[in-house]
Amino acid sequence: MNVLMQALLDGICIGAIYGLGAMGLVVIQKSSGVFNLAQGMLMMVGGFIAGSLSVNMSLPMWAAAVLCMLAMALIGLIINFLVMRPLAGESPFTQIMATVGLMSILYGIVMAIWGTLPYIYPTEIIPIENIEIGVVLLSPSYLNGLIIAVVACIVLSLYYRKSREGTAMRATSEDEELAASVGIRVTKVLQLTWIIGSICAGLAGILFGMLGSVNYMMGEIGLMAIIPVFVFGGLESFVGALLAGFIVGVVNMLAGTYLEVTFPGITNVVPLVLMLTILIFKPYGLFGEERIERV
Amino acid sequence: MVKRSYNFVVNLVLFTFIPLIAWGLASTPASAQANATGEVYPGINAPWTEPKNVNFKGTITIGDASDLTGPAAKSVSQMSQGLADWFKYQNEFLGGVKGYKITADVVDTKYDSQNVINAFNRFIDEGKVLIYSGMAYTIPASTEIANRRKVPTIGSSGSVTQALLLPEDEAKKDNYFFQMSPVVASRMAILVKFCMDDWKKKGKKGIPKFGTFNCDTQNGHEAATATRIYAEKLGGHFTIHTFHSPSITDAKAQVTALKEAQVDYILNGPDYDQPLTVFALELKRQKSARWKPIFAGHTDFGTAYIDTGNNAFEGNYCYEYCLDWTDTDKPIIAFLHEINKKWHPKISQRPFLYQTGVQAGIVISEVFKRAIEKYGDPKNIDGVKIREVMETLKDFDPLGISGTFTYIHGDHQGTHSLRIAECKDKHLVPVTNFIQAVPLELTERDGKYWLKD
Amino acid sequence: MDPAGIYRTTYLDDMSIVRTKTQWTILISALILTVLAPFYLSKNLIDVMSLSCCILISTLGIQILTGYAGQISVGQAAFYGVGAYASAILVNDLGVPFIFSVFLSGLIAAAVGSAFGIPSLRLKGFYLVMATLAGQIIIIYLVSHMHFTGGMVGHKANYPSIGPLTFDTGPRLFWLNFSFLLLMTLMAKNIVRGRWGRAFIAVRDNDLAANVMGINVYRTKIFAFAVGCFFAGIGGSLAAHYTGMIHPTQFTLMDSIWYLGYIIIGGLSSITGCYFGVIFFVTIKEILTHLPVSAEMAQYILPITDVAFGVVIILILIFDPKGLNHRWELFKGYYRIWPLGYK
Repeated sequence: MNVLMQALLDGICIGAIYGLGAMGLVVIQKSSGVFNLAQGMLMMVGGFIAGSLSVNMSLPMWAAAVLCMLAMALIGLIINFLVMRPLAGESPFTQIMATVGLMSILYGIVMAIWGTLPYIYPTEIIPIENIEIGVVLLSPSYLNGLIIAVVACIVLSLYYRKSREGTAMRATSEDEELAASVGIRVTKVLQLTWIIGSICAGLAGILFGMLGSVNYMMGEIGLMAIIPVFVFGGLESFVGALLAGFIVGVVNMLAGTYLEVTFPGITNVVPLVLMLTILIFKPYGLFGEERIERV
Repeated sequence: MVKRSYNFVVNLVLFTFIPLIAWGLASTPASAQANATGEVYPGINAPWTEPKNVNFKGTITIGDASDLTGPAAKSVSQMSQGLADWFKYQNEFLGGVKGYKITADVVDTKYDSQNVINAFNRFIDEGKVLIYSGMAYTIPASTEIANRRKVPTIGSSGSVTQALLLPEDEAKKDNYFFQMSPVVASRMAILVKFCMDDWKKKGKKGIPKFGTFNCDTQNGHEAATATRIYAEKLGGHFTIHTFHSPSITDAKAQVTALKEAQVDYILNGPDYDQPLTVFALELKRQKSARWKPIFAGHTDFGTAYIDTGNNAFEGNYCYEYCLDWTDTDKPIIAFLHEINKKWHPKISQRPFLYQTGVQAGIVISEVFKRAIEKYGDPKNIDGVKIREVMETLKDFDPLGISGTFTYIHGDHQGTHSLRIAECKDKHLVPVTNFIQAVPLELTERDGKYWLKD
Repeated sequence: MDPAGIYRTTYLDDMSIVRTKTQWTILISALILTVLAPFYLSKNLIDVMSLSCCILISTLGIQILTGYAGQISVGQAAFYGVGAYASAILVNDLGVPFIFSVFLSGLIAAAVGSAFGIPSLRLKGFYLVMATLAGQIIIIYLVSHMHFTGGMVGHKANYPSIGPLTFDTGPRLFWLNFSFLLLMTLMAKNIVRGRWGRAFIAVRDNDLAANVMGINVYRTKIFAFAVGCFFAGIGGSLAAHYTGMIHPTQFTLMDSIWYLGYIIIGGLSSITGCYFGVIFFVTIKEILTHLPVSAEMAQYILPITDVAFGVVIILILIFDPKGLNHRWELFKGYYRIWPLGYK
């Protein structure tokens, strides 16, 4: 029973982080209809930038995180400017292929700069020792991940609903040409979505790295972790992404607790199997709306 | 200005070089004993000399296919660098191997068997007669190529299948894979024995419980099985195996399982930086007053814990089959410090596997020396001849950097001894001398025996 | 693009692969030159070419699936791996003759691939990308934990042999792989210019319209998937016997990404494009790995390859989306009228 409770608790914490990563995908998917395959690599880049800042340059963790998010915003801007804007208006197929190229570039850059050395964030602010709550142990870095991810989700949703830019983004996602005709600068909106997407990825990368370490395999593993979340969440909803994150996190942790020791590596595979099954029975995800196609 | 620099040079010569040389001359005679072959090694068993400018008769190039990027990269790239440094020394100070320059052609294999195969094929096509391979994970593929195309390969995999031939195969088969370290099973035997003694020494009652934490690779499974077999043989209580994939992001599940079993000793075989780092972190999270296990494992963790900046591995043990960077009282390590000051002034610390690379360099140089003595011009030497020469190495001492090397036809383990070190204040402090591994019995030479778990 | 004076009057003529005597001459002499390559090229180059043949066969598959039928698959390396393992197990453990096992492993890969495609083929959008990504991870996970695949130890594969003939030297393996490449290229070419190929293109361009025209969209997509994976399986099977030892780390996600890159660089919807893409990147990779560098620098070579690969993909997408094959056509067109061209 303790073990089960522990798995549920950890699953919710880790799920919130997955949800945050998937939100980055949702932002980009909503506005430009592109599935960003490089999201996992962006997570890894964010994690490594914060790692460099906090470990090599010994900045405090919060400063490293803030600087890292600025850097990620810059990276998002560059990606949009150099890759996505020249391809605007092309088919989504072409744009997905461009993210494939991006994936390879980011992977190569990470390997060349940071190599394969794992980074562990300093543990001054967030202590390493567990807190005992009744029968379960709560790790501060897990709790920290949960809080930051949930706050980020709320902020993002509010921004999307209430702010001017948010309204513009929603309008663009409904109909690009119509939005342009009422005076919304679509290129600016797309730029903003890439910036927000990259920041989400960077933050998720840092939080993910705090659980264990940041390492060069995070790109692949991160992508594999957020894809089921993205699909369950129905591709276009922030709250859906967060709730789906909780589900995937719990599944992940249950698999980890009961199967991992005998079948190493299965933790990352179980959510994917679940995703394939769900695609058969509920093709548009748990929180998505069914779309009607017109010719 | 001119005068100032003139003064500087004079002062440098007067107060630095001359005393250093004098000190060097005064202190070396005692240690300047030539080794068995009578070779003089400046800086190791003789005073430093100026680098020689030799007109080489030709070049011997060996292949070096190593995971310079990938999970094992951090340690494996050190092996390549150690090898390259030794070859540089061999060429500059010893005049090469019998007048031939020796170099290594390095190819990154990126933890991908396909790259290994490509690299091996390329090396063999280019006529290289010996390949050094610093990797553990993709070794089966390279062994297969080495045996198919009859070119010897040197690596430190530790797998039983690759090091030993079954008794019935010895007459009809040749093994082209040469190992530089005791097989995993022997390493675990020594480690389990050490843990049992440690338990008694600390005056604890009852039977110690053993558990394993291993990578889900061939070597990891061999280590797990060996731990169970030896723990049961020596009267310990074996509880649980935990395996992990090389790319785990956290080791929560493994540590939780070990905690549930209340394991006293967690044993670990060949493993990588990333899993060991997250394992150390998680172990520190879950350690409590009621559960304080001791971790004993692969030497790689030494490199993992130093960089993580936490003292998670404090008080734990690891095995080493070479001397450590801190063994400065040994001439060979002092020499390596000197070499690194000269050639890599930025690097102050070398992980253990750098020494493994140097060790390989010494052995390879010796092999080529013997081969040239026997066959003359290196052009006449092929892979089969190199294998035959390697199998003549008997109790060859690689300048004290590790135990002696012996290769016989069915047994390619190389050095048979290792020692155990404890982690104190973020340094590895040896707690035993080199312990000779007990040779495996006939039934134990079958690789399948060690892959039961 | 034919010389003056050549008129084609039937559809069949229009679809023929080789049209003029000059083309026949060039084709036959190129074939002879390639077959004789082991006599004048270095051993290492022959090894590289043998492996490239296997990769090319698999690339032909993804060209049909992604280039012609428009279904993005990010799991080609895993299906290649399925073929490799199937063939290694069939030949080494079950004693099936090599010549049957090649085609059997193609069929097995096709079956496995379709199984992963089916859930997502009913949906539009990029569910197929995610499903094949999942397939990539799940297949490699299973392969590295099954008992009969050898797990993390890998699986041996004998040298291929057909009847009394064993292909155990570099040139022989090259001839074997090359002849399979020719066979599969012919097959790919025939598929894409036949009824199925036209159906693929119709589905890619507008599946609702295709449906109205009487094409069974669902069945067409599944068939495209099966064909793509069949090619991957054949390529994998040849690669397994060529390398002699297969291991789960040979079939990674990044390899799947590379397959997509090959067809983008070579040119989507073109069989010749596959050749260009693979040859282009194998050349770059070989040049980079042959650079004489020190042990400290060697670790930057492969990351640089990755970056170069990504940059080339993006540049091609932005500036020349039709790929190298289109460049080649332009070049040919330019040369046809070269000395007497007009502006």
